[in-house]
Amino acid sequence: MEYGIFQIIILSIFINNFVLARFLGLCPYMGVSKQLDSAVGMGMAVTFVMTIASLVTWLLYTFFLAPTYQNIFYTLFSTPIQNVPDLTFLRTIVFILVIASLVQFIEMYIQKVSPTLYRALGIYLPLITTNCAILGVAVLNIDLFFADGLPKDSSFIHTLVQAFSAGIGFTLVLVLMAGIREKLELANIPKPLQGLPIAFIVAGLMSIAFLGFSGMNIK
Amino acid sequence: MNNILRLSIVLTIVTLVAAFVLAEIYSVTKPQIELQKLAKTREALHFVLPNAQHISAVTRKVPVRDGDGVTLYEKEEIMFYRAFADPDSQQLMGYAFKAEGNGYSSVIETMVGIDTAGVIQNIKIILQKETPGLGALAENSDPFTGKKWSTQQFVGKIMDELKVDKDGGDIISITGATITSRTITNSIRDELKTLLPQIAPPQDQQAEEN
Amino acid sequence: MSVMSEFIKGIYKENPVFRLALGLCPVLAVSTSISNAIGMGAATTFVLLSSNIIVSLLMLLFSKILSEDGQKSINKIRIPMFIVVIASFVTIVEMVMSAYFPILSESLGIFIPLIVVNCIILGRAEGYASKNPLIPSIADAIGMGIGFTLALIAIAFLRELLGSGTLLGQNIMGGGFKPVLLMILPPGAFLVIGLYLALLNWLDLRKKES
Repeated sequence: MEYGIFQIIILSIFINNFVLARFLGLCPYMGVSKQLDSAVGMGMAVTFVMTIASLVTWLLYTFFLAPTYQNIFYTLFSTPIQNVPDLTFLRTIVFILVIASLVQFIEMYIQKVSPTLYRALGIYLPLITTNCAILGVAVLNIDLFFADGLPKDSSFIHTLVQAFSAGIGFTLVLVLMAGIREKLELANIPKPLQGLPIAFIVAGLMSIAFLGFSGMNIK
Repeated sequence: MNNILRLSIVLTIVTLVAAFVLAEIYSVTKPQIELQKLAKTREALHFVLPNAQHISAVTRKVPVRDGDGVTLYEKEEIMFYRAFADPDSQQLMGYAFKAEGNGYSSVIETMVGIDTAGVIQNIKIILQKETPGLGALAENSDPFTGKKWSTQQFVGKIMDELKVDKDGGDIISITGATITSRTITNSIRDELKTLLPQIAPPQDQQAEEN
Repeated sequence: MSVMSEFIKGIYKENPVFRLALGLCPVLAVSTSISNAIGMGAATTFVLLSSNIIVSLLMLLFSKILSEDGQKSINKIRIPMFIVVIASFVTIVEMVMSAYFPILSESLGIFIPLIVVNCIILGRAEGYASKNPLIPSIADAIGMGIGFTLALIAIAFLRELLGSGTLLGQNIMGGGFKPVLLMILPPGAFLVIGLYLALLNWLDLRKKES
């Protein structure tokens, strides 16, 4: 499918929202959405990691793993394009290692720059590594913006736009959820439903609301 | 520093061992994966042209260009398939082609079989990720009842008859999935429009055994 | 703790999905049908088992051949090492699935590579297998894997039954049943798991009171 930048933005934030439609990023969604401030902080951190991770993984995929015209075997060692080794099967390992290292660096950075945010995010900061949304968007970038192993037109820009928009969509939903849960703290909820169950039901209702976006004609 | 170097080396060794093992497994599974892709196409072809004894692809060379427009090499692209009633490829009995269109939430690919007059023999949806329970029902090929969508309703139709009911035609669309129905119908019609003029003279094309 | 208790705990008391709230993403995404649930459960259990075995053996090896200091430094890179091990097995699953189970591979989509970030796997590798001998690690992995699969099937059971009227593809509800489409769409997943969690909480509260 050929997408323009505007369509990618709308798709990633609303129509195919990463949390409510694609089911990516649920652990932090359930864990950090209890307070508005930590929700905003987490959302920003995830958006940042998503964008940088997508950038690095795109570069690694295009230059090292896939037999593309930018592949170093082709440009540096002049192997004919049909003989360039197809290392795409290493995608999962390479991507997750990149993400793990990135999160490590960002953790150290946040600890130095804003110890309050660091403490607020707590265990959820290193857990960004296992956030399916980050690896998910990296894999989706490949699935959507590569065809037959070669990058489609504007693949790089589209990748960055999708990653950033996905992060924004994640943040949006996280913040909405935090707002609702803060109010829910004061409500009279039956005991069995308190905590995670009611959070999931709220998520379900939000998901229904976001389903309404899927009728949007953005062509 | 020395410690970091040693740890990096250990990690690199572990990764290289893993990569080596994976490469071995990849070399075993890759041919099977390619086979699966071909099998799917072959299955669709035999579904839409069940009486064909031999099917061959008609291809053309498409230039593959890099970012500056320089042609790097030429790729073989399948335009359509020719079907023969006999194994010796003497009796041309029909054609098959892939129609593609942007559906509601995915690209929809349909394999279409036609006879030499351009009358549709059968169709098969080979790729779609439409809404389950709505657009995804497009794959249904149950006997056509005249009230519900079925791919069977395309059997016997010609190009000019390919319009959904909402556009004034005979094709019954899926309730609640107009876009999906329209995409499939229109994509087949558009592909037929492009292909029918090209099909007539077989001696101009290159043929390839399939 | 006996090997048996390591195995049993993963199924109910410490069920990774319903008790530990781990591995939520694939559970919600893949539970649209029981066959998908079983496929994903099997793939995840395979990775869980394989990585628990390798991690347990690796840490055992290191404790035998390395000094105190050596072991301390290995500890620093143990997480990346575990990740490489897990990612390798996930890649094996990816390749084997697309080669021999193409339909399941297409239904599960991106959630196959996402098995690598399933918190259950890294959680058990780091939290259990790295500190325990081989046999209990195996029991732990199989128990957790079965618990995960059962949770998946429980959710898929409701979603498939109410959302498509079928169970394992067999039409159960009969012709007059109008499927509740919402069940196989995302909201259905959230609602079903919310209700299951509430049910479990309610059962726990009742046990406490009695």
